[in-house]
Amino acid sequence: MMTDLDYKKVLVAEDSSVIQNLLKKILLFENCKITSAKDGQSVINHFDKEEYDLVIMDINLPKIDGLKATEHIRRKSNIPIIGISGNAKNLPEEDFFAAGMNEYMQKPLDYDKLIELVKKYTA
Amino acid sequence: MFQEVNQKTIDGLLKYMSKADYVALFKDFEIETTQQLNQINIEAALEDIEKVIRAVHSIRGNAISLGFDRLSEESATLEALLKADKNIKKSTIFDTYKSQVKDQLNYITNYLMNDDRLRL
Repeated sequence: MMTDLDYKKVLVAEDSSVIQNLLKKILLFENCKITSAKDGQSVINHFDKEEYDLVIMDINLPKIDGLKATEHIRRKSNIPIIGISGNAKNLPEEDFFAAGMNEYMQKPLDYDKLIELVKKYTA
Repeated sequence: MFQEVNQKTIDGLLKYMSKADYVALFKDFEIETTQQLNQINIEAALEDIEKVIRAVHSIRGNAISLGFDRLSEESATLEALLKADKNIKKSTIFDTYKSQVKDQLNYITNYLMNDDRLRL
């Protein structure tokens, strides 16, 4: 059972409930407590209100896209941000790192690598 | 053409969840996809094509994440068509796509029921 001190607070910005649920299950392995945001405005609102250990950000979000949301977060914080994408806009990888992401993964995600990155950035 | 079901993707997921969890995800996907199909038609495209593109893109991303490579490929094809020509006038591409989605969902349902590795 996770106590208040044990879990890692992860903000997951992803408009698909299927992917949100999938990530929730996988990230349990790293004692993660997930806050879900379904669009870019929502992720900014959550981020501005509470402290998190890590952000997982889908690029293609409604309202405000993942890159703009990343830029907003980066102006205020060094929190690790892992970008995920179905690559809707065929953007080059450099754009994600330029926006301030620490890592970038394409769907289908390598779940072993995701866990490794979560461990790395929340150590 | 891609395979209908990518067992390697599923195996990757099964390291982190039970078969029952995976099947539950599929059921959520099936429900969500069926709902999204209601937004994928000529009337919706004429009203707001970006919304339709987003719905197709969403199905595409969910499908590949769960190991449904063929369905993801078919969604990517429609997505590319819609982006290339935002003045879609014929409903046939949507009818074809809906038929493809239904076929794939049926295939996957059978696969999950009959595959030794996934049968509950």
